[in-house]
Amino acid sequence: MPDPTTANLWHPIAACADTPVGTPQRTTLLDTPITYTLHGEGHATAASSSMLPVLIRYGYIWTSLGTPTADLFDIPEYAEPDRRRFNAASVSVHVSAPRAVENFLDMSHFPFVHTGILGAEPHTEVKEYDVETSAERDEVLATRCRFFQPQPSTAADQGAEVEYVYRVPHPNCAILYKSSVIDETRRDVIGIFVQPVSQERVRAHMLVCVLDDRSDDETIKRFQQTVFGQDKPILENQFPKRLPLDPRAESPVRADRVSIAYRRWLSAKGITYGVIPAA
Amino acid sequence: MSAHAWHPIAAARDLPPRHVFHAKLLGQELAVWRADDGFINVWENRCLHRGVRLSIGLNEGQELKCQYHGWRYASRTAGCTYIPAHPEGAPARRIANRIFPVIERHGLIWSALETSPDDLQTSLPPDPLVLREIAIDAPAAIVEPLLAAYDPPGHGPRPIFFIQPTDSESCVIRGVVPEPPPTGALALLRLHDAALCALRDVAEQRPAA
Repeated sequence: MPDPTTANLWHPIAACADTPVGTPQRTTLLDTPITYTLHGEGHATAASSSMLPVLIRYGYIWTSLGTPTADLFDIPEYAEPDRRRFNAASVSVHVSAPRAVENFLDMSHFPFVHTGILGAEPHTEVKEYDVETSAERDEVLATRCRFFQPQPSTAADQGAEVEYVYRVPHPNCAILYKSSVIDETRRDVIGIFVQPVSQERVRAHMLVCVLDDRSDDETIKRFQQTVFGQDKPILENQFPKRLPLDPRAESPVRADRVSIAYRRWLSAKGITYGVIPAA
Repeated sequence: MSAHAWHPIAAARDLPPRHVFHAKLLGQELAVWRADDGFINVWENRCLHRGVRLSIGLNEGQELKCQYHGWRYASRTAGCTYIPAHPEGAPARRIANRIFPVIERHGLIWSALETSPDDLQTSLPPDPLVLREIAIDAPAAIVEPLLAAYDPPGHGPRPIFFIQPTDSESCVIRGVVPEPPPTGALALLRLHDAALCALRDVAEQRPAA
């Protein structure tokens, strides 16, 4: 059984654009088989042994096995009409949800895993950045994250030092904001919404919400799928698959401050699903 | 199956230059690699930083480089020598991976999970013919009696078998022919391969005790 915090969360189960209208679909959430149907016009239903609450937000169908105590987190940029917004991919990965989220928050792997795209040697240094855990908004926030990227996005012609902001507003969801190469006053938004299938298996749904007036949807999707395709074999070779929350379990360095804050935040929430709780 | 005993974990030919071999002994995953100076490293198969298998890492000759964040570990000591996210500072000395003892002998690589076992006691000539390893989805205890009765027709010199207990449910048969005839090695390898595959089929169909 999932811990109460996890059971009461909203969880993504499918992208609306990838779901046929009017035909029941099956998926698994927290070890529980779910049937859901997209009825069109922003309405969907879901059931396990009984009917489940449903939300459609950011192009995805969300449900919960418990009683969600809060509304889903806000992404104000999603409402901006000139953005390209869609699900870039839903990918099955043999890893726990918090390991997938932590990888999304990590800059220091860019030169080694996303070589020539999001990073390249010798530009490996992770400069000092700021991390806070906001009690008011109940989220982890990392700001002033800077990294040199050879090809920051599909709209980029050349490398640039890119500034990131990372938000973790949900134990299994994270959002990054990175400098737009088109409009220096605005930022591209990319989200990873992780559906925990079991404690050690996930479906990772990737939202893009970006400024790009020259690439078609397929090009933008292919860019994200290439990047995530590079992460997948790394994630599937991580052991243990569940995220250890004991700060002494692995060897963090200064570049990992956001990961340390994330693990501490999960501990404080009493989450036990997909993690190895601290003793 | 003692953690203090020597067990074969690979064939010498599994360690070509600049390769990292993924081995398993008594449930423990191992990253095995030969440095450019010939030294064989047998390490726990996890980067200390974020747990990624080192067997998917890069053998750079004197160091092994993790695929995830480029952390480097030195041959022999397994101490972390470089953390690319912080290129200016030297890594803390305490960051060193777990290492296991190693012996290369009779065309095989041997290790033990606990340190300082007695020397490996075998009385084999130095260059036997090493058979292809046979991975079996059955415990070593089931394979042992089958190997004791192993006697395929026309096999010539009898191989000596060592069983690598990968975990409680599986094992690998590693056989060597001590004094192979000067010609006909390929035929001998084929004969044993077919006979050992047949033995594997028997072992895997037998219900565990």
